[in-house]
Amino acid sequence: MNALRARLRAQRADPNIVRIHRKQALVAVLTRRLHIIKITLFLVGYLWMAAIPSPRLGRGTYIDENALGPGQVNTYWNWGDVANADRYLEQLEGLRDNNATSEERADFLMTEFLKLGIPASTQNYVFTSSAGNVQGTNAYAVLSSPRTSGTEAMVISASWISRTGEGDGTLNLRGVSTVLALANFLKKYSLWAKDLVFVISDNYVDGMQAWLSAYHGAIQSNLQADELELASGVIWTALNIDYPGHSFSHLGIFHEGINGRLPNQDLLNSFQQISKWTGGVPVLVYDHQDSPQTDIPSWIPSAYHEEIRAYAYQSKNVLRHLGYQARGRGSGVHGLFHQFRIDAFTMFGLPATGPHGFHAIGRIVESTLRTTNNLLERLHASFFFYILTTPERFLKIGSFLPSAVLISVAMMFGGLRIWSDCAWIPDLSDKKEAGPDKWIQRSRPVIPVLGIMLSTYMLGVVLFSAITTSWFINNQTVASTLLLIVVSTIPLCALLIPSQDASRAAPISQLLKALNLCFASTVISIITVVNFSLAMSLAILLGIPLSISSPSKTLSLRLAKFAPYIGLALGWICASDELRKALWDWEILGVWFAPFVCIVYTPLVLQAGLVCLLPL
Amino acid sequence: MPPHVHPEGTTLRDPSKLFYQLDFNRRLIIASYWVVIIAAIPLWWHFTSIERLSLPTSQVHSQAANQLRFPVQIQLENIQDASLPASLQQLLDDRIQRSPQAWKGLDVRVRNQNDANKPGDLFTVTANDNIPLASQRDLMYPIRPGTLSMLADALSILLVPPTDTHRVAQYSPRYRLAFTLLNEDAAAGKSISGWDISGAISRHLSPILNGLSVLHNFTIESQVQFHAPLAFSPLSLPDGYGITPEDLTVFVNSAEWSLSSSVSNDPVLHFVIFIPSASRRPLQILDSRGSPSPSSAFLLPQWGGIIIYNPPPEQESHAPLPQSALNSIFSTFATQLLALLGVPNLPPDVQTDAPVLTGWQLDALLRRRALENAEGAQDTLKSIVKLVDQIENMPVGQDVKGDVQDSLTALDQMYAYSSTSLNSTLHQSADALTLASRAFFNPGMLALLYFPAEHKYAVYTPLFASAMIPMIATAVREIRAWRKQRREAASAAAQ
Amino acid sequence: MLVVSFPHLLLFLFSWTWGILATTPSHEEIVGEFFNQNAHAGSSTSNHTNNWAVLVCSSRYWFNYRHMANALGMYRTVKRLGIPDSNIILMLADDAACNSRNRFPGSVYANPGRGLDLYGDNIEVDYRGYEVTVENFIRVLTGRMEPSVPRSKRLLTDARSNIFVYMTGHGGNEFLKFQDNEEISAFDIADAFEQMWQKKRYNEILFMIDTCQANTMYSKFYSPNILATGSAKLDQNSYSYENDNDIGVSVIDRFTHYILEYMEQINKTSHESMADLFASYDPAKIHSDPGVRADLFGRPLNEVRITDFFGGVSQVEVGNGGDGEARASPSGTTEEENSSSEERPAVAVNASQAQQKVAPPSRPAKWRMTRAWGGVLLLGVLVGWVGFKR
Repeated sequence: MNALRARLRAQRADPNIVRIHRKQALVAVLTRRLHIIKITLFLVGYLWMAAIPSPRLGRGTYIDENALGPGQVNTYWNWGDVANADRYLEQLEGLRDNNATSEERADFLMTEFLKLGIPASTQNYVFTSSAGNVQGTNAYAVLSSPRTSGTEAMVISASWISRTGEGDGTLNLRGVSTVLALANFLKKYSLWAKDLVFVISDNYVDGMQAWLSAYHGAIQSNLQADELELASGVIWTALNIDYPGHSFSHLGIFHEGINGRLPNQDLLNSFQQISKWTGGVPVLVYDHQDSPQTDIPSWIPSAYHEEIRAYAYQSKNVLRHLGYQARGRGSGVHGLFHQFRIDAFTMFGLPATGPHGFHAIGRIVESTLRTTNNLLERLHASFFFYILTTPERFLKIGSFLPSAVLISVAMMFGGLRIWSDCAWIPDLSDKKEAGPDKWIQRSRPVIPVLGIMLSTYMLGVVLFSAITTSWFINNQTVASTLLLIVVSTIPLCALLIPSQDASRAAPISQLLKALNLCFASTVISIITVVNFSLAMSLAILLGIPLSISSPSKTLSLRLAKFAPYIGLALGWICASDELRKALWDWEILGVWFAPFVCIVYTPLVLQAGLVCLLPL
Repeated sequence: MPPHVHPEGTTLRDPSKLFYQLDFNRRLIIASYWVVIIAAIPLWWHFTSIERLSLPTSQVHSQAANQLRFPVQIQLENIQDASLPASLQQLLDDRIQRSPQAWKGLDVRVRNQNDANKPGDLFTVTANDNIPLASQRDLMYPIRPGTLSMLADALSILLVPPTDTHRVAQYSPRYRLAFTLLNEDAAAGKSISGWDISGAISRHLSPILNGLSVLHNFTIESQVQFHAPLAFSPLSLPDGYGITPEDLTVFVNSAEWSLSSSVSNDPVLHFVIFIPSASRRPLQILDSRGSPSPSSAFLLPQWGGIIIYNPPPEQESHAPLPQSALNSIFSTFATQLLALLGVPNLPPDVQTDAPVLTGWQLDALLRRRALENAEGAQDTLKSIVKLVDQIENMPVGQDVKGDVQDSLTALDQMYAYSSTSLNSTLHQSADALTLASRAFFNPGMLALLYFPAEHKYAVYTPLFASAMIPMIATAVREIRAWRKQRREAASAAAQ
Repeated sequence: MLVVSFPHLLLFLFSWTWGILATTPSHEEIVGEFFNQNAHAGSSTSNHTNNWAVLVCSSRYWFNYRHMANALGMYRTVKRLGIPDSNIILMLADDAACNSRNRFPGSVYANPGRGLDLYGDNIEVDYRGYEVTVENFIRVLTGRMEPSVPRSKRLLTDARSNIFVYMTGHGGNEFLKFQDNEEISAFDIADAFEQMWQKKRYNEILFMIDTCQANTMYSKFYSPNILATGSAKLDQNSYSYENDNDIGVSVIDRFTHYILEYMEQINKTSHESMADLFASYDPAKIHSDPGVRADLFGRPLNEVRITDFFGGVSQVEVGNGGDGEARASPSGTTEEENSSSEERPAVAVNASQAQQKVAPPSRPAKWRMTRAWGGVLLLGVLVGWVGFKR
């Protein structure tokens, strides 16, 4: 008892000192092992990313919203309606064969809607962009809800050009005929709690962009569009029908929106269930099938074959998802809806010789509309972050988000370590003492470093304004070579910066690396919740390269190290097609990918390159 | 490797020199938190407490122990034998002994002509050799030693008539009487197109209603319906149709008949004449053996009376209800009304010459209603007090308190009147009941939503414990440091 | 330091648990006391002269169609069996019949074949939409109404009224959600019934509830003469019966469906008892374990007719008024039946004592409070001490 009391007394003696000692010990332990911790974080992060397509990580999809009740209705779309769709198709093919203009097509569509007794109208639009003007005419019709006030609406849309090959010109004639026949069919129901808006948008994505902008009164400066004559309420959901082939074997879900937004997963899951149980049509994510004949080396035990095959299939899906989401382009016309918080997706009839056609797609859309009609409020907020690995499996945010965060944490640790190391230098003046135990403090000149960083961003802005000029688009080959040369030579000015006395101030290269790593880490962490695919790409592209940049003594070594960074930072200028598309997306659709690359990504890599160029 | 901690030999800033670490400032900061908390306590108390005025609990309990007592005096007149009053008293006392519950609240005294007046209602029994006859408050009765026991029986029935609480409607100061003439199916022909309802009421019911006006206020409404189907099919008999006793219980087809308007919240007594469809006549009531009962009327306890009227076969199509039928029907309604209102019957051997009710009957009814009301008011007051005690979230506002007090006052006055005026006693008892009920049903007394203690702790603990415990700990530490400082200063000064 | 605070932690956990759990057993104690005190001597016929029904559907929204159908199904049944509209308080939190999503406007069906329109003619909804609140429900029961509330919205019962209370909606352990934004707890209903009992507002109550964990809702009752039944026990869901593919939603819940199915064979003069109804429960079909609580109820269940709660009047007096009436009591035949054969031991009634004293639960309540607050106080002291030590 006395011993205990004595112990208590001893502790009470000076708890502050005890606390300080404890903290010191902890910091020391962490600092000593920081390198290992950093490597472990990188390793775990990258392995985690590699594991995302694994069938072991995901879980089965389910319906979260009670109100939806998917697939619980009888469908009444019948062969008569299919015959209607066929008739519309014939007329549309006539228009195609006569090379009808946009106006003629839109007028025809409007007339057909009006014949059905549904108010309809057309909308002309012109986008001006550095690559030239884009124009067209949309047709749309509003079927008012018979028993409500029409404050809410659902959209059923089809674009004139299918998403095949990202709008390579394949016509979506069957999709358009489906919409027309559906309008005829759906108007017979009196149970719509929301207005039904049928939109046939011109071209691939620009028509819908013009229509949606006009609908929401958010017309961008480079768009001249007619005001919409017919109005309806808040649009909650949109189904985009893309049916380019003669028949289809599967329905593919395309769901990524522009700037990485995703529709609520409940909508996709409901559609998946309806398609499977009501329509009897198997569902795919995107438009590729699981290829069962994947070559698997024979030395792998057969017990793992299934899993490897699943991994291969799912990684294909995840990669496509990454591609769409990271570039912020959206995987189809539906992606435009997401910018107005409308849950939308494209159902893509995978062209095949059979067995499904108008009959199946009509029933599926009918049933899906009954389901979305049941909605009472917006779909649940928690269901917007996911990765669909197969139509029936997905990853929740918690099972993929940490991978990128781990890498950003590793980068942050690296940066902080360098930052804190910069403040000290071993005291070598007293040569007599053998051990490097004596350290002296030195200053860390932040201002010049920030100046260097700022100038890289300025360079990024200049680069972006250069590539958005019409001159660049028109003379792309010449212009991009020129730009590449200019932008890669400017950083060489850094060679002129003299070396400093390392005992008084920390070298600029080290400080730049520290700040560069911290900033890159921050950017990645922020992007993870906005657009995971982009964050993951950044983590892969920046994680290791930024961490291994280092200054050297000889000029040749410095230049040799600088060269790969220039490649990493500006290599995209050579991908001319991709660049043109990204610029078009930025100008017409407002996709942030192009400016992001120029103003955030390229400067970050250039900074790492500068670290190599700067004196030791 | 760099040290990453502050090396020895360099100077650190003394924390006690920081502005916010100065003793005074630090204590000021800590104290300001406490000032806010303490200042907020009355506010918190005010906004979270429920208004619960104290009720006069002890008064309610003492009042509830009181028992209403009515002195009743019976005077024997025109008698030869002076011992008869005493014997009658004895006989009545025996009966009171035997069933005290029935005689509850009555102090019966039999007295001679020449006794001095005492408070209480005086009833007179006059010896007479004719048949027994009850008029206002008199009874002619052949009083002889041999008939004294019979007289005592008759008096018991007159003073405390047996009642069927099952049948009698609950007391209400106001009633609505709804008279309905239902044609099962006028389309089948030979329907009754109307009735002289106001005449019938004034002839048959008005005297009763006037007689009972001290007890109740009546509102009357009437209607004629031409399509009032039954919910069952009557039994087909050789000579007509019959309704079994079981069918009688479901006779009223409330889904299809709308029998009364709902303009007020007063209780309704229904009186229905049902004219069977021409294809189902005559419609008779069967007894449990299956043979037709002589009566075509029946009574639904507390609800009202129904009479099945089969128009004579020779009746022309679509004629009003004949006067003769109306008279017999309304005299039945009158009886049913009296039964529903609990008006007692006279003893079987006693005749009356009073037009409607004798004083005996009315007084007995008044006494019983007053007793019922008093008991109801007492029970209600007791349950208010009990529930308020039991349900802690139940608010008690000024109006509830006022009503309870007014009800108690009315009860006090009722006791005061009980020996002098029966009418006033009843009125006070009715007031007491109405006020007590109003207090009970006060809309403001709705207990707030039940919030279990667990929920309270679950809400409060995470919210306050995390904030309060460090605050208390800091306060204690600070006070201790302050005391230590003072001690040290004192010892330093001493040195 | 750690060595010292470990016992603290244990104590802390212990006191916390104690504080939290302090209330749970005491409720059972109270309930137990009441069982012993309030069991009435069984009188076999019902004493009531009028029947009332309070039918509540507490959930809104189209996808809860089935709850509205549940309540309307009960409404149809009680009305068919003779309770007049004036004696039925129907509370429907939403109007499925007029929902724009209803493929059959103006109709509500409770079976997938859509054989019977529950919303046909003569539907009198007394409380609809946003009027269906916990407060209004309690006001209906206790009678605490504003003077302006019309007669049709009031439960004008008296000491001779048998009341059937039916509730359906989404619920959980000891609560039922109203309108998706508030909830009524089992204590609220128990207290409301007690207030009704105190004011002599009922003779007997049949409480029936179809929701998840429904049986917890009647576990807190303590007033006499209440018979209660629910669809599912603690931690059990109550399931919907079937989906109509044209309406597109589930149209009725299982428990209610099977009760209504049983009730279809009952007519106004049927002699089936509540014991028969309870014996018809089949957990395999209902997909949950329905419960019955009869310990507060005064009569053996096999002598309680279904029509005592679902029917209209029990007896009439034939005659020309006051004198010489013959009582026509259709219950005469069953009264002579031997009441000793119980079909379900689970619903046997303890009718040994005929005591009517209702002990106020003030002492246990105070004790409960003291214990709970004591626990929290102890916890506070311990946490404070531990925090202070560091």
